[in-house]
Amino acid sequence: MSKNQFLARLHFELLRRGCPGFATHRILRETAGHFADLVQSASAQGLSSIDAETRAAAELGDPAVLAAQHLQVRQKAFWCGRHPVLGFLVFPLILIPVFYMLLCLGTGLGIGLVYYGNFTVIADLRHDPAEFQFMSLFVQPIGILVNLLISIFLIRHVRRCALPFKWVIGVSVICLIHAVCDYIGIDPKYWTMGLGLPLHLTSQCLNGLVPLLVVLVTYAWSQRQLRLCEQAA
Amino acid sequence: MKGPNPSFLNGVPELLVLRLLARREMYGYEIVREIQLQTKEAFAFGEGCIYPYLHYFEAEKLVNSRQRDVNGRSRYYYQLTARGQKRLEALTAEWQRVAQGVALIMGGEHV
Repeated sequence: MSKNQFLARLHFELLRRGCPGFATHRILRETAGHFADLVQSASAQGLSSIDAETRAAAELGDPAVLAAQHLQVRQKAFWCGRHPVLGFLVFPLILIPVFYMLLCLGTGLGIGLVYYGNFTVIADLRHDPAEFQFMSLFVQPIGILVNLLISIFLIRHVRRCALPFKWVIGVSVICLIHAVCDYIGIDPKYWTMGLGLPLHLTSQCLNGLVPLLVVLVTYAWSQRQLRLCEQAA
Repeated sequence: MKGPNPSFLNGVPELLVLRLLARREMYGYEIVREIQLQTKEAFAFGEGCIYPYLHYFEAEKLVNSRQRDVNGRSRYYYQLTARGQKRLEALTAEWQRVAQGVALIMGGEHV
């Protein structure tokens, strides 16, 4: 097996198992350096370049086994990788609503700051549906944006821990549950703002599409990388 | 009474690598060559296995790494951290305790 074949195979095995890009590049750089050192050493002993590369590949070991070892180490290196059920299913289920509540407080503070000093304007807002709709335009996308950011953060962390793709799906299901059930909105009649079950199911179903979209993009991206790697090999 | 050490045999590569890095900073190929040279090739393993170990030690903050260009080739050099030094001392003590125990059973047979 030549150097390029060995590295292409290792690259493919790492990507296939879900190794994140930056870690893959470092592993490949180090392995390529080691391979070159082995070839140099074998050539110094009088071996032809083909024999030297074959021997170097044999000395480094099976790329599939190496990739599996790298992935195992990566999973062990992170707390969430060692305890994926707690880290990616149980804690997000509990902590995301807490985060949404903090977000509600933050949004309330934001509105307070915008109308700071104009308390009569705030008091009159209840009679001004147009202004309330204007505010809703800002408040409702915050929920979608946060949903998107949480989905990206968790899915990225699953990839960082090099866990199998089923964990990406598991995390997205948790995000989906929250996207559908957690609702941030303002009520013009009672001047309240909060977290709860959706009033408009259609908009929440649309919100639920966000994590699914993130999973699809992640899957498509990883498949594309895999295909490119396969073609290069 | 001292506790059991079920992971002792698993800790041998860790002990060897940390011991070598305690002397000076090294890169992966250098570490493998040094292990083979100093143990007179007593250990047979796929040389690529060294990197998962080194990355794990780095994640555990037992070693640091830095990239250096040497002769036009980019290499990752690893050096022991203070935490790694403590781990090495603990592993060395454990090793000496077990080695003494084994020596007592083996008597003079293999000495």
